[in-house]
Amino acid sequence: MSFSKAFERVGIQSSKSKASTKLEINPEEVPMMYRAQVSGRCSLQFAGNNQDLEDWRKEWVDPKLDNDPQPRYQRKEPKLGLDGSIYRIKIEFPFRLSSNCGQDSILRPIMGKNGIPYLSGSSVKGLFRRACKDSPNKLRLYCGDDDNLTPSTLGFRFHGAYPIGDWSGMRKVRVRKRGEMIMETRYRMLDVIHPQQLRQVGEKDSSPNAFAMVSLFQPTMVFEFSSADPKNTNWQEVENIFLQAIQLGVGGKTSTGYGLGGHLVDRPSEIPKYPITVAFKGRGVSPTLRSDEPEFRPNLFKATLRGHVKRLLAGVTQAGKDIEDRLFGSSSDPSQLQIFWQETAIKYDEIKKPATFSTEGILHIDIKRQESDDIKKQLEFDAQRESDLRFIEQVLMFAFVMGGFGKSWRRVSHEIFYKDYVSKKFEIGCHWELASTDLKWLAIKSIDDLKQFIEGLYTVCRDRFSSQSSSCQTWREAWNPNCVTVYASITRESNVVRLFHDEIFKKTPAIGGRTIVKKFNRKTQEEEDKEQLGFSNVWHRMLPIGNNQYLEIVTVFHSDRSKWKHRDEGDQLKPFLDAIAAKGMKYVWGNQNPLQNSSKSLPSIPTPSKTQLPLSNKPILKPKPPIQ
Amino acid sequence: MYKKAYGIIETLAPLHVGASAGEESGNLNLIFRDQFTQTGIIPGSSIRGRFRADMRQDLRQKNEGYKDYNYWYGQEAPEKGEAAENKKDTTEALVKFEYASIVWLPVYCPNQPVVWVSCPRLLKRYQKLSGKTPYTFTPHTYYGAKDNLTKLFFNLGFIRLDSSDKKLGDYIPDNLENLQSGRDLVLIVSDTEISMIHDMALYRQSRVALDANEKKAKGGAFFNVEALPEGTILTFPTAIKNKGKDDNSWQEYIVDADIEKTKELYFGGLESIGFGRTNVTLYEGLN
Repeated sequence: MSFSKAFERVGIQSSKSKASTKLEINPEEVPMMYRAQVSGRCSLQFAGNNQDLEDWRKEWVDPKLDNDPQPRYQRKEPKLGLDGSIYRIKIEFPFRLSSNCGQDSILRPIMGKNGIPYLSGSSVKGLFRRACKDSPNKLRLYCGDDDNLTPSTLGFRFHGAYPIGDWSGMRKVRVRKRGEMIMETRYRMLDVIHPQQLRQVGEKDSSPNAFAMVSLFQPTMVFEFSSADPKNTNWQEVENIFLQAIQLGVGGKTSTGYGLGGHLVDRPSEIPKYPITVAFKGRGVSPTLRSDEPEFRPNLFKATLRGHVKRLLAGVTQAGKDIEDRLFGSSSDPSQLQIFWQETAIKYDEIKKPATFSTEGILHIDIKRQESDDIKKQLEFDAQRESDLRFIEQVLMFAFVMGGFGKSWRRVSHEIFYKDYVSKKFEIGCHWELASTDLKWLAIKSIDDLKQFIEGLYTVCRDRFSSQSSSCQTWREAWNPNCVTVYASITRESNVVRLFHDEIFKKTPAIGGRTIVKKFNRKTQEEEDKEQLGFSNVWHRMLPIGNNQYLEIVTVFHSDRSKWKHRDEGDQLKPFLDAIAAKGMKYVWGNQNPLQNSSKSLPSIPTPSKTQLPLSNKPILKPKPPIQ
Repeated sequence: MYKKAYGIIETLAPLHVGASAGEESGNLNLIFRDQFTQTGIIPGSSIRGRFRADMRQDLRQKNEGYKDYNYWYGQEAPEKGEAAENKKDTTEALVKFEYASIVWLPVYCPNQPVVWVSCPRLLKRYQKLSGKTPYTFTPHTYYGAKDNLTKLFFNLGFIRLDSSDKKLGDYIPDNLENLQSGRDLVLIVSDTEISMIHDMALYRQSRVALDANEKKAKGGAFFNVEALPEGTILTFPTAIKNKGKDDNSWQEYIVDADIEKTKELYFGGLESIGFGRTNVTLYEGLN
């Protein structure tokens, strides 16, 4: 029954006169939030140059004025500690914070009062419950009894949290447009998800879509609590439990560092106690937001690890998807692996294009402990976690030794190792080193060390993950000794980097990643040669080994010989291998005679012969003991 | 016979007083609504219950054997098995409460200021309770800063801003945390429009319980709840039974109930996650 009929029945007349019902309506004036989520009305999910998303953001933020583009509605910092009946705790987050309201086609926080993002009280209560789970008394006191459905004995309440000040991450940046430097306003709350897996690792040469999301950039949040009896509440204990609780992460995407590491403003930062910690410093081409602003994004560590786990498993088994999903998450289950990047320094060079970063920090890695009431099962879980941790640390070393992390990780930093190139061209590559405090983490000092390390890791993978009829995937970078060859030399400067810029090599898809294709140009009505970018099948790394020396490592994948074919000059595998041999590179591991591989042949099924391989399946590098 | 007064409730968090189960078989927990305007109310029993519980929790009352408590809220019937001699017969409560209805309801829409909306019927109830001068409220009149807007968008359609009416300022209670007369925009809509706008303005939340070990929903633990949004202004009448001439029983009640001018009180469900937090201010009535 319509309400108007109900009103009619009770005799309420509409006070609107007929003449005054006229209203000029233009559908384009409807705010984006209330439009259909379809193309042409308001589609939000695509992160590219998406005007709908910009308009939607603008209406939500609702800038005060053009010269003051901060959000119209903001929360001021209230009195902290106990204020009347409310107890407030202020928390700073070092990276982003994401929570999802479950509406719209985009991940975005709940809009609280006046559209200000809000973390609901129920989320905070959930955190608290998790932190108290080993103490039934505290659980009953603050959260109530879940089984008997009794409320908190203290009458304790969780009021949720809100950001103070500008929550949109507004800032003005200088950008070059049509040759002129102008000031533009950017909002860092617009975040981007860019799944690259299929393109980087899988078999498809697909081009991935980037998706938009909204998350708060380094927010300062105020969490509020109250109790029915504020005078007899132990607020210090509440604060301690809460701090312990948020170390596990608030909101979504915590496995990649969102909502982690929140700490009190006037205390040293609280860091999650994870068993693997390594301090790195690195530089490279910076990840960017959808607005082209550089932002070093710690989720690249998880992506790198996942990619390498995929490559390593692809080299020993046709399966492996379940192991990868268990460790790194899938659409049905969250990731067991937890990563937190504790950034200690970051610098961007925005003048250059693309922008570059140099950063220092400590990478913390954990694998969630699974729990079971059955003691036998618990022992199994613990043993599995222990071997997973050892494996992940080996993979982390593999990533560090063979390439690097983040964008352009297959190449050495040209800024350091090819100085003449950088002055005229774009920056390419990255360079990662161990921070001085953690030099002992990795003991690779010679070509023999490298050989042992790779052999050890491959053995672990094969013994642990491969079934009897072990076979490998046909992927570009499947880590199988038949499909890959590693070369190395000890040097003070890069001898090989110039080869990648050789006119023929750089246009060979397997080396330069570039393919030349014929494309029809509409303007000239002629077919033209166009470059298409793909991924190189060669990795190049300068691994520091002390005394200003480097282990120059070149990793060559050659299972797909079609990629090695230059358009005019034919197969380039032999010329390339000859060229690197001429630069002093020595064979280290893998296929000793890659040239024998017949063109386009798929990798044959490797039959692991125990005699060739070290008998011990223990990794040569022991993981560090967990930090207490 | 009665000394009247009224109260203003300003919600400081979403407020959910449920319509209870039975009527709805879906998974949206509705709030209690007034049958004519279809706008949210807090039933008198909920208000009385809150005030009563607060007095019961007061230590002074406890020490004095709930003397005042039983006096104001009526003597409870003896429970089964309890010695009847200790308990007198039930008595009538001296303090009465009626339901609270909305005076101003905030509606948030991106790209325009937050607008507090009301309708003639709701404002008339407030006018009667507060003893303000009667006034004819005209739909689509507004008061407060409107940022060069000529029309507003409310979720499903546009509504025109007709003319400014300063008189509306008199119907905005003083000392509210969220709404300030003259600064914030208030708008009158017709009695037929309010229910639709009210439904758009409600705070709705999906509630899900997560698995103890993993961040995913526990099976079946997923439902939705609606609530009056933060910043809603409601009003309710209350009265004290007179005992005789020149009776100041109202003042006595305020002392016994330990109510200062404004008191923070919680109404409705989901209190443990912050719902139902309000500021309640009592105003003495006319007679």
